[in-house]
Amino acid sequence: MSNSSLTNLIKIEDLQNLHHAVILKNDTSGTSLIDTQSIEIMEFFMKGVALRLPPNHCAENHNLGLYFLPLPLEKKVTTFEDAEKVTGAFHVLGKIKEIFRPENNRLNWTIVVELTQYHVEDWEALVSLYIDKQDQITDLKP
Amino acid sequence: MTENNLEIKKASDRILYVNKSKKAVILHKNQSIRSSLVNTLNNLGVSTINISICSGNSYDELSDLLVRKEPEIVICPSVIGDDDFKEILKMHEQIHPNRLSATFVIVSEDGSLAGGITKIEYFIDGYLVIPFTPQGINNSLLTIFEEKYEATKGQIAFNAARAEFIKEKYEEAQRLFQRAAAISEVRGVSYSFLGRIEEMNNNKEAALDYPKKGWVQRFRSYHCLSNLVRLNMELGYFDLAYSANQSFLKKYPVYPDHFPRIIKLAVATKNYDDILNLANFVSQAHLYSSAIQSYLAAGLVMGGRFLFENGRDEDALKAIDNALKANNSVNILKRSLSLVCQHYFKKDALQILEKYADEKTSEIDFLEMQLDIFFQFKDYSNALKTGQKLLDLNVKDSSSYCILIKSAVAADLSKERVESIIEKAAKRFPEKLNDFNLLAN
Repeated sequence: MSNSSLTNLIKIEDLQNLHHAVILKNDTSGTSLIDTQSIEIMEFFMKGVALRLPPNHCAENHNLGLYFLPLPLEKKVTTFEDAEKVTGAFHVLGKIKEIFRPENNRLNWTIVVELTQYHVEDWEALVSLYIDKQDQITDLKP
Repeated sequence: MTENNLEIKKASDRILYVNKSKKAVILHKNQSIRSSLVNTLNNLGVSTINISICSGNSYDELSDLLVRKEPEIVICPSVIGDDDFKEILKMHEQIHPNRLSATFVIVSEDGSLAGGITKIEYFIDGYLVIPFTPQGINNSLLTIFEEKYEATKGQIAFNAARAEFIKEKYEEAQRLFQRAAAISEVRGVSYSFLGRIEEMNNNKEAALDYPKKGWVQRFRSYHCLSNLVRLNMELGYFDLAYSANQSFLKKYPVYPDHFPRIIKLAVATKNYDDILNLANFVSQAHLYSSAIQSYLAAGLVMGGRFLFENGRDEDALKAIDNALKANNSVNILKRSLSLVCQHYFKKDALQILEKYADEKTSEIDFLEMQLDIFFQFKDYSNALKTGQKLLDLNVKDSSSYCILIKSAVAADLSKERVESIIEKAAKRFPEKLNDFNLLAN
């Protein structure tokens, strides 16, 4: 079979979505959300992040610890110690600046977290991955 | 990354000036996303008072706003309610046929390049990926406006022709596309439209001539290559379609909807390894969007069917197993089981059902699939056991009760017991009582 058979021409990386999982520790309330499926990253800001998550896990001005974990995960993460061992994972601290609560309070909330303690270069490298991905799509031309 | 990379690029005075008079509609259920889109549009000159917001994810709300406001700019999710964006796009195109004066952008959670190809496939201006970055969406929208407001001669000619095409004035469109095709920048895409007009006249050979010309003259744009593949396939020129598709895939990321057509081509040209190779994509399927997963799975099920038909049962079962690894939705599961049953692999069918039905598979779906397998293999006693369980559940359609009644008859149950089944089935579907009785007789 030649290398230019149709399915050999499809690049696996073209099909892959860029994904990071997030787990959260609420230092104010002492609670945590470790299920990597529960939190969805909606937006990255220069010094913050918007996350969509199940309701009632936090309130305005709560201090959070967040772990960003590159996907796919080789092992299931069930503790913060597990998260620390994930290659490429990094930890930031932040404060909730705003919460968007849908009218139906059972639906997921979106929280805007301002980062208060983080490694600037790591953060910018993470954000740049997503900027680059968007730019690649923007650059697709007919 | 330097600080500069994180800076938002500023729009030119011309963009700010032109956008000042533009109306926009933004639909997204997430408030954070809506706020960012409003801020970005503001930065690009669109005035807040000209931006209408839909906070739900309702198709009706959006279409109503489109009709009332006739906005030049629409930003909405790729999936609106239970529909995709295509009808809304069509509606927007009718309102603003010349796409240089309009902007249509979709927001998607599929950040793959294969997902991004959607924008080329449907002539959408922008494809914004969640998670947003302010820089990413600003750059994207700015690029769109720059390209529109500083359009080249070719773009102006092409969009004028396409406007007539959208208005269904095909003769005028044909004349204008022919004129646009004189400009090399838009020759390939103009040829693709000239081909489509010939197709509308039911002249597929003449239609094929246009993308062929694009191919020969090396104006191999996305739509030119895509039409070359499709028309060659429709006319039965599979080898030509295969080689055109090779060029297509060398130049562009695969569009996920094209998986089934790639499989069809592989089969028609007897390149069965293409089907087996698809399995290589399954190991990373958890990183694909659900749409890509389901197209990949559909391609593999289709491949499985062709492998069965060619006597390669083991490979066929492998293809089906891989399809379900990629996507074990009820739809793919049902199609896979039906195929496996057709080829008399009862044990495999039951194993597949056990292996791939999970917490996402409802009890009713599971029992219906199990019933179908038992019935197809004439295992009426197990079919009756499964069917009886379904009688107590709120099934969506009456087909599983029909199978149960047929199983009861085939198993030679007494008239009373059959009638008792019919009675229970008719309680759920009273309008089907006659049909049920007919099956019993």
